[in-house]
Amino acid sequence: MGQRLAAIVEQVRSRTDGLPSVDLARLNLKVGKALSRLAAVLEDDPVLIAIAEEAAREIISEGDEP
Amino acid sequence: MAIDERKIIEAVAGLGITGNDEGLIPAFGLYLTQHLADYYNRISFAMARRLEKTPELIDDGRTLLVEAGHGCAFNTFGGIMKSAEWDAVVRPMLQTREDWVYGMAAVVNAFGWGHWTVRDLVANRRLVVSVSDSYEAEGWLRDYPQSDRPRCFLANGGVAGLMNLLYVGDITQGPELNEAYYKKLFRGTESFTSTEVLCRAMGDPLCLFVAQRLS
Amino acid sequence: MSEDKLLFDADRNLITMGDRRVVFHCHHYNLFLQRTIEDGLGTQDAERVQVAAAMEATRAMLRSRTPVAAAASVSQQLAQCNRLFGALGFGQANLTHITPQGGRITLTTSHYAVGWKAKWGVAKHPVCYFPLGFWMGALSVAANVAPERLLGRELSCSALDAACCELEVEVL
Repeated sequence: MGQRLAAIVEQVRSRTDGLPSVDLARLNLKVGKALSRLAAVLEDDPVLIAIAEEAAREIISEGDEP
Repeated sequence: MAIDERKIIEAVAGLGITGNDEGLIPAFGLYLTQHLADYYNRISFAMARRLEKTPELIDDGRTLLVEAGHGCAFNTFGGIMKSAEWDAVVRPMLQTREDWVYGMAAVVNAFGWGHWTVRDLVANRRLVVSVSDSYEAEGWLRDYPQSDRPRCFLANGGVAGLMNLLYVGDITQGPELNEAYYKKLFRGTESFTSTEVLCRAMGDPLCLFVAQRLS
Repeated sequence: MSEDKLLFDADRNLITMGDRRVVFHCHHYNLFLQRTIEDGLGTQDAERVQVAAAMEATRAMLRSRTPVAAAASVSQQLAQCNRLFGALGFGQANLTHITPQGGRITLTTSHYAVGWKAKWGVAKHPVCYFPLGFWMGALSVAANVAPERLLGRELSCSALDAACCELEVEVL
């Protein structure tokens, strides 16, 4: 159940320079689902994974000055 | 010496903050704008209303809108409290750390945000601030039906930020306002968070914020 | 023509231009909020919403302030808007190539572009939504053109390392 999605959430949560609550809220809004809270119960739907991966890539690549 | 709010407001308003030859306002280590409140309200409320159609995302939207207020407090309040203008006008009135909170609230009262009043301050524990004429709440009331939830995202982040600058960090020592310091102030176990317990947008007589530690 | 002035009610902490409120904010807040709106609405809707909001807010402010003399030409009115744009800290605009029928506005400086680069480095797409809406609103009021007849876009943006920001406004 949602192993790939859960891994994406963890990737965003644990990024070195990030602010986890901000990064995860951003991920959720970009994906349109509360992924950070629901990843474990969602199916690993390929379309959702693709959207989540793109969103995660964007968040991780951006600077995070407050 | 007591905090002379009137004198502080007059001094800030008298700075004559306006665009330079390039149409920019570099001040306090920032680029400032004197912006249209209607703009902020429309874009913030448009997003909040859109997200309210997907209830599981409401808190995420609110988190980010309040986070914008945290960043504002950190950079703008922090930048001002490190400035020569602060040293010249406000600092001579300050005797205690708590005075810094009252002094910064007085400066905010020249920003056009509505009037901030410190209702209660328990050193290192709790700050209660009321805001009359909040541009966020008044903007909501003008354009939308009475709200079932608070709408002053910026002010909420600002109130928490004030406590974090004084009681988690130590802005009185003029620290560098960088990303690591921000994390220490806003993401530590000692960080303050604010709750808007009354809001004009919900029909309350004023907006009221309580900042306390999470833990 | 009278020049625009901000009024400050020190008792209530209200700054107004005409009957519209003006508030101080820095580039950190402005750009974080802009990015948040993009996260929440998606890039396309975020651009539409922010340009429309800028246009609406600018039109409301301009229409409620001290009336410009009836004899003022469109270019005189736009020049006054330009002084206001700079005084409020939004940047510096060159209006040489804008007419009542539309055209191009060059921003030699833009708060949003300068602020984005200062905060986050080079942007991935143009960021001057507010300035675009401001100038669409200003042209709409100055030339007395219904806002629905205006289309606008940012052709280049200094947040992407272009030399300047270039806005195009088309009157339908």
